[in-house]
Amino acid sequence: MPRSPDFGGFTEPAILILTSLARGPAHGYAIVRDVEELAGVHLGPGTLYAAISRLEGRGLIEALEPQDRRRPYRITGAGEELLRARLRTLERVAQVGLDRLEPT
Amino acid sequence: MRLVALFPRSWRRRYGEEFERLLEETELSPGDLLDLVRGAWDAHIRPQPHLSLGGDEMAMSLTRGLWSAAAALAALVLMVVLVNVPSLWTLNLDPTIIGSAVAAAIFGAAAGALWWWGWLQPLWVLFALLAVRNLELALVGLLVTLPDRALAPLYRNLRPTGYGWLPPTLVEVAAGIALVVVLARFLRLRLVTAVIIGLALELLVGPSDLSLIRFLVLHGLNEFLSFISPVVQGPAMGAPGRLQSAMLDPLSYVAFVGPVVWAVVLKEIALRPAERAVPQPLARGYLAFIRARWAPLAALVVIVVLARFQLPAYLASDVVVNPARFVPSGTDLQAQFRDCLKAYGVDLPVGANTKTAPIPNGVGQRCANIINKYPSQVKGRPLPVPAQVTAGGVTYTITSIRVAGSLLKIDWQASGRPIDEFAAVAYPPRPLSTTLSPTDPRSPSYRFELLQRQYLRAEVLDRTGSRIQGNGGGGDLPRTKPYTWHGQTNALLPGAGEYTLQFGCVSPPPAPTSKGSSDGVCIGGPIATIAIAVSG
Repeated sequence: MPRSPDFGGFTEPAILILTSLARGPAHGYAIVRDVEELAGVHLGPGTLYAAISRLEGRGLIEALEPQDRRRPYRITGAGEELLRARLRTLERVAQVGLDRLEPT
Repeated sequence: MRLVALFPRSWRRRYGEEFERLLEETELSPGDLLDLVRGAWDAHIRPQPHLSLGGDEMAMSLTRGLWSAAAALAALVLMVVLVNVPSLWTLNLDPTIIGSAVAAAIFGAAAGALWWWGWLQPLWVLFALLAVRNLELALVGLLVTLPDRALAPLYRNLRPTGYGWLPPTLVEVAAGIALVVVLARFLRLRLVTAVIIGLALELLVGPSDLSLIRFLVLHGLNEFLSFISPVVQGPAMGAPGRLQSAMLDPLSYVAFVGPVVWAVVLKEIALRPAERAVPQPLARGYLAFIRARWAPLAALVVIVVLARFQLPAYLASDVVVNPARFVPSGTDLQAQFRDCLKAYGVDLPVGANTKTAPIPNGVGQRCANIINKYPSQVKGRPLPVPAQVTAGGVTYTITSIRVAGSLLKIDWQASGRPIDEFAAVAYPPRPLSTTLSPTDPRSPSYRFELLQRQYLRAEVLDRTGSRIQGNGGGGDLPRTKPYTWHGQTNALLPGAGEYTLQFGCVSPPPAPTSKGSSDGVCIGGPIATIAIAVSG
């Protein structure tokens, strides 16, 4: 079985951040709010920046010019590709799990 | 406290500003604070490659480090010279205190000059730190060692024969931490960080009995260094020779390693890397070490563990102390010393002694150490223990008699009214409010001198009543009731036979002088004797 793409730890927050950035560039606070709305998950400041640091280090997101001490981030092509692959896997897993939960 | 300070510097440089902006916009819950700490920990132990410092910057750090090392070495030599300047010996004050004060002035002047002319930026900070550290050491030294010292009421009477160690130690540690806290503003340290760094440095290289370097000194480092010393002590060594010996003797440097390490560590924290291109290859090894951020911490832990547990055992082992496995024998300490020197390749001419013949320090120290420690290290063969005797209100009890070759080792105890009376003076319920001179009959040291001469002198005599040469010994009075003096007496026997252990004197001796007893002569007959039979 081929190894799945690596986020270097903080996998779930990384997927949530990439999902948030798939809508467009956003800075840290906006990402936190967006993730709370879309997934009901609160990203603490330590978790958020641990994941951002990993994503940036792996070229999955990139920083834009800061505005008023806020630095927006944008998802890269590699980030989109990885997010797409990971979400498809999750989709399959979700589908299989739901099927198995259905009464036979 | 700025929470972003919990993160590594390289991380702060990249994310610090936006992270602080995020914290300003967020109402942090306790869970968020825990999450922040977890994130900071992660940033320390899993540094991301894109945040690492550049090779040029690391190379610059290395260059600065080399400059610092050279300056630190020069400072070390200068401090050794200062405390051995002959003119300082004539002052009625600890040369180390004077040396520290003079070093503070010199380093302060050097730092000021370099700063004024803008030269060698890494060095003036180091010299400035050395100046303040030496000044602090001199002031604390004055505080705890001057006659009628300010701290005397705190630690007097902890031991009957002198002052204790704990309060001065705490003062030294507190002063060291306070100095770093005061410097924190200039060193760009936060209060908590300054306290932690100050405490860590005091526990590693501070002058107090609690520090690692003092622990090593007390557990064999001094002896080890004296063994490897190339210095040769000879007759009539003048001032220049003494200064030269001090500079060649590694022992001289131990006391000053702490201040220099202290200053170097703080300097590295104080300075920021300068922007300047230097060749990359210089930095590669250093960079690899720094990138593994846990490595310096792990190295520190390894050093502490080795220094606390492995090094003292090695320093006390035969490999270091007695590599020739010399065993003292015979009934003459001079002959033992001569034999030991021979075992280590030094032939003392007939009729010569340590004051008239040049003897390498290392060999002399080694032999003195072997002969002095032999009685406590050798186990020996047990002999029957005689019954206790009582005389002059003191009961003498022999607890153990052992023989190893010519060495007779006797452990004994003394208890009774005179011991209790002395203990009441030595261990008062509360410290005295004034310092008593050693010549004052109320002082513990005066009373101890009397007690020792009257009741605690112990000698081994042969059949004719002649005194057998001793080899060390001593005693202690534990601070527990009922008070009992625990003594040890060693003698070098000419052979098997009947001997007598004799305690004390009947007549009070002359009053001790301000410098303590010099002769210790017993003026009077014995008050207690115990017969000892040594089988062949």
